[in-house]
Amino acid sequence: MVNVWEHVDPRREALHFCKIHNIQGTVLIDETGEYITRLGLRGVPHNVVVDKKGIVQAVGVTTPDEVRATLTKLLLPFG
Amino acid sequence: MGTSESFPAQGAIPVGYGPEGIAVDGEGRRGYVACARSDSVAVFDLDSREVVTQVPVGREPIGLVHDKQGGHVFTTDARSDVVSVIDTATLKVVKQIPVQHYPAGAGFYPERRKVYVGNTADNTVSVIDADRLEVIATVPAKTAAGSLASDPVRDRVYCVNFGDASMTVIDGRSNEPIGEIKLDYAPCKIAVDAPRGRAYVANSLVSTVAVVDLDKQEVVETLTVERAPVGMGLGRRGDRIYAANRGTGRVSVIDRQTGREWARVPVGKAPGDLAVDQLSGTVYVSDAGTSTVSVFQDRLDGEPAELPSDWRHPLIGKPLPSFSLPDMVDGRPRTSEEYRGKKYILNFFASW
Repeated sequence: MVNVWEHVDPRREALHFCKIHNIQGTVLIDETGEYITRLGLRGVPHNVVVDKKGIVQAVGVTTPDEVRATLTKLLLPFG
Repeated sequence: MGTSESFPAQGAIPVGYGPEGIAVDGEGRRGYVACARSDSVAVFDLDSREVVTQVPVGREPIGLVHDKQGGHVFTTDARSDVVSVIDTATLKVVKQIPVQHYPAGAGFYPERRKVYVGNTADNTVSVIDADRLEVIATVPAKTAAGSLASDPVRDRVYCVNFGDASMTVIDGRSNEPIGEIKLDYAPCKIAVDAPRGRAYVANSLVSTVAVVDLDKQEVVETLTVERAPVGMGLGRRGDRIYAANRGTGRVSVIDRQTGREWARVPVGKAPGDLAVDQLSGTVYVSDAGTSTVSVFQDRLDGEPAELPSDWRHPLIGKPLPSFSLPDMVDGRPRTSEEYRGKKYILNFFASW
């Protein structure tokens, strides 16, 4: 996960958020939003799905239906 | 499509960090926006489009309402568990009213002189007398009670419960909870069109706006908008519904009669709340990602063409640009090299 546009105390805010929502796993900090802006994204939340070759397969996909459809497609053995 | 040329963005006003709740006073030519990460309210001039002053309030102000008659602005300061009251003549805080935990939403009922506060961590609504500046009732609601709006025609107030997919109906006179309306998943913000008997509720996690019939007390239509709508507002003539989409940095403009999304207006990054100047129709949007208030004028006449339905993000099919970003835990740089040869998902989020 990548925390963006926090502006004030990003590390503290991200840690607090992850504790409240019981989020585990790697969290990176894009304090100024330089990286997310480079991807051409203008809001949150956003999921960017990357395949084994480093190619972006999907952008967006945050609603439960979108997540289900995208992961089903990408997890297919020959997909 | 209804392009951005039909909706010229008239610029962005730098305010404080993390702007959320916003109100505009068209007659007084002032705007007020709660800056959740600056712990202040930025007061801006609608004509010069400059911040006049920053009024310090409690920690993390999120909800904001303006009481023109009483000359006050109220903010819900989520991390201080208080409502700050600003005198709009002196631009100073005149009182901080203790409420319950994590007050994150506010609504105003001018005809009853009451301010309503959604205590998100306690699942309750505090009712404040707008003249005495005191809590006069605490009403039980449901999980993550937040955004509120009043309905003077039916003498009710509605509180949407983000964690419960429901709306609590409160009697305007007695402050009693008198019913509940089932909603879609994750209701985040409500706007009420009392004369027409409709409420519009932004469901942020499923990217829809629910249309509620306030007499039947049920959802009668669900409109699809863009990613993560968290702000709602109604146009000056009651002909437009605006939804601020936190996920895409655009405001959806919806025709009230047909329910069609007419246009998407680019604003600042990760917009939150919005307010409409009921004199001029100008729309003011608080952009948490850019710490600005975007301004646009809705000038669209007639029927615009269809929005494109097959838009694809240009990144799809291309290599992900490399990254090197610090780890939240220890600050060491983590790079895209570590993930080479793996399938993975980057989830971008903010705490606000």
